[in-house]
Parts: sequence; structure tokens; C-alpha cells
Amino acid sequence: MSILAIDFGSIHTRAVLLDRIDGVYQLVARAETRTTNGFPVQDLSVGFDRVLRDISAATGRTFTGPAGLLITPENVDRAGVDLFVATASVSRPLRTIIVGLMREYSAESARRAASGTYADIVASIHLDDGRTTEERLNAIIDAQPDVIVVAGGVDGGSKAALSETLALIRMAVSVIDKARRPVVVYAGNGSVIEDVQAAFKDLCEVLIARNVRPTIEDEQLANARAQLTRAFDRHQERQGKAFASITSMAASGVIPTAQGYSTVVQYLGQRSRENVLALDIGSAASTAALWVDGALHTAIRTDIGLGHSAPRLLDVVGVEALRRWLPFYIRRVDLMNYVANKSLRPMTVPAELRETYLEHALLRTGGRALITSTGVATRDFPTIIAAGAGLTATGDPSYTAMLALDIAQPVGVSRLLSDPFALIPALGAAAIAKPEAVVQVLDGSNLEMLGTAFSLAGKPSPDRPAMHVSIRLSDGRSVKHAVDGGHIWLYALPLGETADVRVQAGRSGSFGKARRLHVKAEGGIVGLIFDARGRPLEPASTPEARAKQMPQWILEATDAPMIDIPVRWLKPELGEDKDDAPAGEPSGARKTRGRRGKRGKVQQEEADDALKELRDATLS
Amino acid sequence: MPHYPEQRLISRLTVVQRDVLLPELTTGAVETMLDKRVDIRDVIARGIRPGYHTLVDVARYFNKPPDRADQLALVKAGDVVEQITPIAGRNPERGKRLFAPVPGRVAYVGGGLIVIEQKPEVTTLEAGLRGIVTAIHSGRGATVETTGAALQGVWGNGRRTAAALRLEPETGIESTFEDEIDLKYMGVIIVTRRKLSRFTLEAIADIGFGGVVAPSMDYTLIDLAMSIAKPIMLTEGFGSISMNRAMLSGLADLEGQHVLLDAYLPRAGDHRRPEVIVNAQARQGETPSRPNVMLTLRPGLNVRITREPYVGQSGQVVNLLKSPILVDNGLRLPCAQITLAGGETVTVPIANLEVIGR
Repeated sequence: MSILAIDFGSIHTRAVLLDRIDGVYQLVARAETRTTNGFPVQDLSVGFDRVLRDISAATGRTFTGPAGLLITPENVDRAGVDLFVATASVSRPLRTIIVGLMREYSAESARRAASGTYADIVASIHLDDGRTTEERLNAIIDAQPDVIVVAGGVDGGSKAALSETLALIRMAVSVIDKARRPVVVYAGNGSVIEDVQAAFKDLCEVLIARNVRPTIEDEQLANARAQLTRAFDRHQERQGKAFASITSMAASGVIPTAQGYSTVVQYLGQRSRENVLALDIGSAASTAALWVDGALHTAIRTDIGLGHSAPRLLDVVGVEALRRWLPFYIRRVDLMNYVANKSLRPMTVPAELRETYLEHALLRTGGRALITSTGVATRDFPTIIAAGAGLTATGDPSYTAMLALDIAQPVGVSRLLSDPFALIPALGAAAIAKPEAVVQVLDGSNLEMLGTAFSLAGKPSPDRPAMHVSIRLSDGRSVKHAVDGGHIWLYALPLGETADVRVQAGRSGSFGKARRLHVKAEGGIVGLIFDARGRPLEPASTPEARAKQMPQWILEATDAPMIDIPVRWLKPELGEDKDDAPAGEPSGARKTRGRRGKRGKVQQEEADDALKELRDATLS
Repeated sequence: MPHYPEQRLISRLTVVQRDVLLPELTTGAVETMLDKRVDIRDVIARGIRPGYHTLVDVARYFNKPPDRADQLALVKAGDVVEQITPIAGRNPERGKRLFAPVPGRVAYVGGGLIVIEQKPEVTTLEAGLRGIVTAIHSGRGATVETTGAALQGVWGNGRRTAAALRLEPETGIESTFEDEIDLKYMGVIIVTRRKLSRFTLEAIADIGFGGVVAPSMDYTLIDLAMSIAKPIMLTEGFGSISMNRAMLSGLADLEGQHVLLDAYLPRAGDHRRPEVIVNAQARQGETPSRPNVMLTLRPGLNVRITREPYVGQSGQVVNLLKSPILVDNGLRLPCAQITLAGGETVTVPIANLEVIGR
């Protein structure tokens, strides 16, 4: 049983071939090319042909028949595949109108439901929006929506206000040209579903979801998100030539790329009963999928991306947030020029130092904004998966690991995985027909295991021991190291090996609830990473200090030669507005004097005892 | 795996095939047909942008429940009304009546309401180039094909014009309008080698250039550039980037010729680019090239470098490195060796190379 999965991103088209080897699904071959949705050709099937050809060359198998169509199922000569699935994040996001009764309740829940798919919120309508009915009508028509998400009312609650709102939407949809009418996703009071179906019958397609607010305290987004995914599918079917041939071949149509992250994160979370974080920072859109305390949280942001969406990302995070991740002075206009050029040529990569820091500042701040938008506050992520070329195509897994840590900022122990071949979207699509493939591919070593990270919370004192590490290897040897506050230490524990690791936090740090850890840790391409920079991770407050700090972090994390920041970059350039002043000290970075009171003294004594215990244990 | 590089045309004779389409969200009607020869200003399609919708509350005016009020409607959806047309009442001639508050088309009647759409905005879509219609896209537009020179830029302000093209004098574009515009440049599309400044943009807005082709400008000037009614095309990008040598040479070859400057504003995933096009027939023995969809990066190709530290420079691929190499910034990337126009050989990430298309 072979599965061919193709993901059409806004920059890259990636294909993976999964097949059963000794009864277990494994990654057999992969290929990548540029997505063919721009000059000189706007037809995704051209990119499709390219990756098929590459996979053919790698495996010696053929996939298409004489007419150029995919052969399914696989025949006795092993030509073709049994299942073809396709995912995409390349098409234009859904122009979405949010309609609710109360802004803070139903409208907000509908907005959160829409954040689970590639949606641009183009208008929001609710009872307290200050508009007249006529203004609301024109707002809906002018917004030219692809989808209208309607929420409001608790189940069994009053229908009056909702009926008025539905009448307005019906009127607006009626006056929109038939060819352009939106899909209505209804996720409100369950007792008016029949009225909704009757109101929009013969007018437009209606997708009914369970109420996003069945009670005022309860929020249920999953079903509404599933219906929005269906609406996205409809939208892609209308994209014409670019998608036509692919949609006709794929078993389940073209599925949103982001759905794969939700599926895989949910599976990993349920299996491990631990929190999981997956991050895909793309060019036009980015996805975060989190499994936290038994619940799935997703954020899909079309305004966060390193290429097409770079200017919007700058708007989202702001100039100052970016500057805090740069070890040099930079004028606002230069930042704006950089992001604008990225949107014009999104496939390019930084080739010199200054642009690399800019690119990674976008990645770090955008990634943080993405996680923040899920509304999840925890930093406890025992599994972190990094995806998207900006994160995974650094050419150095250590660099990828450091960037993933800077974005996720976990506390405690985290397995760091990377998905450079877009396996996760493939698995998400394959899960519909072949759920066992997801299980077997994830259980195998098909994602890249970068290593295990140990991350300290709090504000460790700079350059003073903050983590005391003892590693006992499988051959009985042991290694000890003290990691200073503000630094990273790497121990190259190879892939496939495990070690018994004990870590004790110094005076001003912790690993969340614990101050010491004792775990059996997995190695990886990078190994074991001990991050004593503290959480929340805040780079130094001045460019001069960051110019010393950030190259040092890279050196420590990657073991590559240190690249110093040129002195000329540390001369403030006079700008044209007050924003061009250098970044000030971040508001959260106020220094506090280390006045050790009674409580501090007790804690220090506990830590000293623990350190003694650790020393004894590792020496014995 | 082969690398399929980005292509950007700087070509003296190529097959130019362009989809001329209304914006995706516009409802429209195509007004041309297959195999029809079209000129630059010929209308390919007309698009309709909805007008303002005025809501008339019949139920409230007559103090009736909605269903009873609907029975008083004197118009139906689709009717055209003038400002004095009675739209509701027992009798259109006398008694208590409700008159249309605005002229327009009745868009909706129901629920005790009448909606009148005021005059919609009609936009026309011109062919933009002289050629033959080779495909019709229902409701959106057509594909027009021609042969000629094509030079693609990276950004435009969404305007278009056809006029003679001239290079700026050695003293710079500003010297053409010190007191008043030099008549030699009146109405022409001027090519400047220097980045556009606010001063130059304001002058472009005020005086008689037909359009401007420039290498770059600061992003902070984008609102000003967008507000200018004349086409502005950038060939390199935002910031202070010099014009690529091959681009400058290609534009210099068009000096004095009547060209089309289509300063198209690019959008994500868009097929179309801002460009300068000159219609030209192939001479005997010449075959216009077509953009090669399956073109892979290989030694001998002429390329343009699109990122620092060699941004804007042209060169030739001499070697594709087999495995990723450590670049000066500490990243390990797939690279190629490029011999620059000046003779120096440099190593550049392949993602930062654009083939100067045929």
C-alpha cells in the first residue's frame, strides 16, 4: 500500500512517498521544487510533474500513465500509487466576515474558530458595533466575502436578536451576484438551525456547525473549524486552473496544510499524554498547533510569514520588537525596505550576516506572536516540532534547534524535532484514509530528531553557574558541566543514544515546578542542549550588548566559528523620525537587585543541598 | 534534485503571453473573442463594483408588520427607479406612498424592506498590449499573445501608459525639471538609474512625464507613489539598489521607441509582473523565444543576483556546488559559483539567483 502526498506551499511544492516496508509505513523518497503559481506558468500541475519525476528518478518507479495521469491503485509492476493525497496553503485566504451578537462572546468565538483555517477577517458585524442596519448591509457587500461565519446565542436561548441578524445576512447575500455568493457557516444557537436552513435555501451554501458558545461559559470550536475547512475546500475548487487537475486526482480533494499539524499534534499529545507544540512558519501563512492539557489549540495566521506576508508581520509585531532581536542599529526605513523586498522575492535567503539577523528577528518575533495568538500561556512543551523552510532550511540542525528554542521558549525538558520534508501535512491528509500510516511513520524515525533541550525559567545571574549538569552515558562514562546564566551548552549525544541526565537549577532559576530534573534523555543530530538563558527569553537591552551576546549564543548553540558584529554597525544612524532612536530597554527587562531575604536564603540552602546530592550521585 | 530558478525577462524578442484579467473579486463580462486582434486600448472586459445600497424601511413608514408591508411594494428586484418613483403604497398614483430616496436599481424586496442599489461603478479592462486573443477566461478577461521585447520589473504602482521611452540625461532626472520640464521629456517614459526620492516623486506627480522606470525607492514612499496617476516601475526593489546592468542595457536599446509601461502592482501568487513591452515582429531567420517552464539552473546561464552582498549584479553560472556550503553568515546553503560582469567569481545561494529570461 503506497501513499504519495504532495504539499503545495506558497514557495515550495514538496512530495513524499510512503510505502510499507516489512509491514510498516516508512518514508521512501521525497522531492521538492518551486511552486508553479507565478511567472512563467500558473499551473500547480507543472510543479507536480517535476516532483514526480524526481521521485521516479530516486526510486526507479513510474507514477503516471501514457496520458500523464497518475496511476491509482498501484499495479503489479509497482507503477502508480494506492493513495494520492494533496495539501495546500498556496491559495488566497478565505475572505471571512465574522457575525455575532456580542463582540466579546459569540463574535470572539467565531473569530477564534476562523483562526483554525486560512482566513482573512475582512469585516466583523455584531450588535454593539455602532453601525446602522444599512451600514452593516453595505459592510457585508463591500467586503466581498468568501465565507460568512455566523454565531450567537446560547443553545435554547432567545431567538429574536439572532433572527434579525440572520435576516440582514440573508438580505446581503441576496443582493450579491450569484456567482460570487459566499458560503454561510452557521455556528450559533442550535434551536434555530431549521430557520437558518430555510432562510438560505436556494440562495447559497450553508454549512451547519455546533454552537461555538453552547453556554456563556463554554466555548466549542472544533466543529465550526471542521466546517470552515470544508468551506476552504470549496474555495480551492473555485481557484480554477491552478488547482483543477490536482483536485481531480486527490482522493479527498485538496486539504489545508494546517490540518496536518492539528492531526499529528493531537495524535502525539494523546499518545504521550503530554503537551506538544508544532510550528510552521511559512512565507505567506504560519501555523501553530498545540496540544495542552488534553485540548487542541491552533492558530493559522495569514499575516505572519517570512516572505509574502513579511510586511504584514512587521505590522503585527512592530519595529521595536524586531529591533530587540538585532545586534546592531537599524533605521525604520531599512527594516521596511527589507520586508518589502522579501515580499517581492519571497524565495530568497539571507546570504550576509546583517540580513540573517533580520530574517531571524522576523522568525523569532513572528513565531512568538503566532504562539501568543493561540491564547495558551504554558511553556511546558515536552515535544516541539519545527517546520517551514525559515526554521528547517538553515543547513545546520543546531541553528534550527536554537531558533526553535528562541521561538517556543519552553521550560523544562523538550524533545526537539524538525520536519524539513513536509511529512506532517502529508500525514494529516493520509490520516483520513490510512490512519495507521500516521502512527507508523511517526513511531519510526521519519521526523528529524534534533535532540533534547533542558531550559531554565527565571532570570539566571549572567555568567554565574545556573545549571549544574551531570550526564551518565550508556557506556558508564559520566560528564559534568556547569552552565552559566545567559549561556547555552551543547553536548553531542548522537542520534539513537540515550543518557541519564540530572540537572540542578542554580539560585535564580527553575524548571517550572521543579528545580532539579532527572531524566533519560534522547540524543539527536544536535544532541543535548542546555539553555540557561532564562524565560521569558529577553536579549540584552542595547544593540552594543546584543552584539556581544547574540554571536556568542550562535557559537554556543552551533559550535560554528563566531562571527563578530562589525563595529560600524553599532553607530546609531540618524533617521527621519523618532522611531529611529535605538531600541530602549524592554519594559519587562527592569533590573532587580538580588536582595536575598529569608525566603531566598532558604531556597539557596535547598539548592546547595541538592547540588551536594547531585555531586554525590554522579561521583558514586 | 534540479533547481528551477526564478525567471525574470530581459528579452529583446520573446513571445509575450499575458492573462489580462479583472480583479478576482470583480464581477464582469468579457467583451472580446478568441483569435481577435486587439490593440493596447481595446476593451477586453468590463467589471462591475457594487454601488452603495440604500435601505428603505417600508414596514416602519406604513407602520405595518413586515409581511403586510411587503404587500405594499410597488417594485420588484431588478426594477430601475428614479428619485421620484413610488416604491410602496396601496396605489402608485395617489394616497400615502413611499418614494425612492435615491435613483438606482431595486436589489431586494422582503422582510418589510426595500434595498436600492445606487449606480454601480463600472471599470473597463484594456488589452494593454497589441496582439491576438488566444484564450477567454469567462467573466474575467482573456489571454493576449504577441511578440516583442519584454523587460520585467519587480514593483509597480498599478498604472499603465504607452509612450516614447527615454533615458535620463547624465546629470540625472532632476536636471530635466529645474524650472520647468525640458520639452524633450514632456510626455515620455523616463528611465532613471538612481533611486527615486520624495522630491523626484513629487515632481513626477506635478509635471509632464508620461511615466518613470527606476531601480529602487524607499518603502516609506509607497503611499506617495501609489497616489501618483502616472506609472512608476521599480526594476530592483526597495532601498538603495542600483539598476542591474542587463536591465539598463535593455532599456537603453529601447531609447526613443514607443513602449508600453505596465506598472502592474504585483500580488502574492500572481502570474503577472510589472513590465515594459515593445511590440516587434521577428525578422527573417529570427525565432522569438518562449519562457522555458522546465528551465533548470546550469552552468552557462546568465543570472541576476537578488540579495546582498551582490544584489542587482549580473553574471554567469560557472559551477553548481554539489553540497550545501557554509556561507559568510553562518548558514549552510546550496550555492552556485557565478562570474560577475567584472570578472570576479563569487559564491551565491542558488535561491538568490534569477535567470535573465529569454
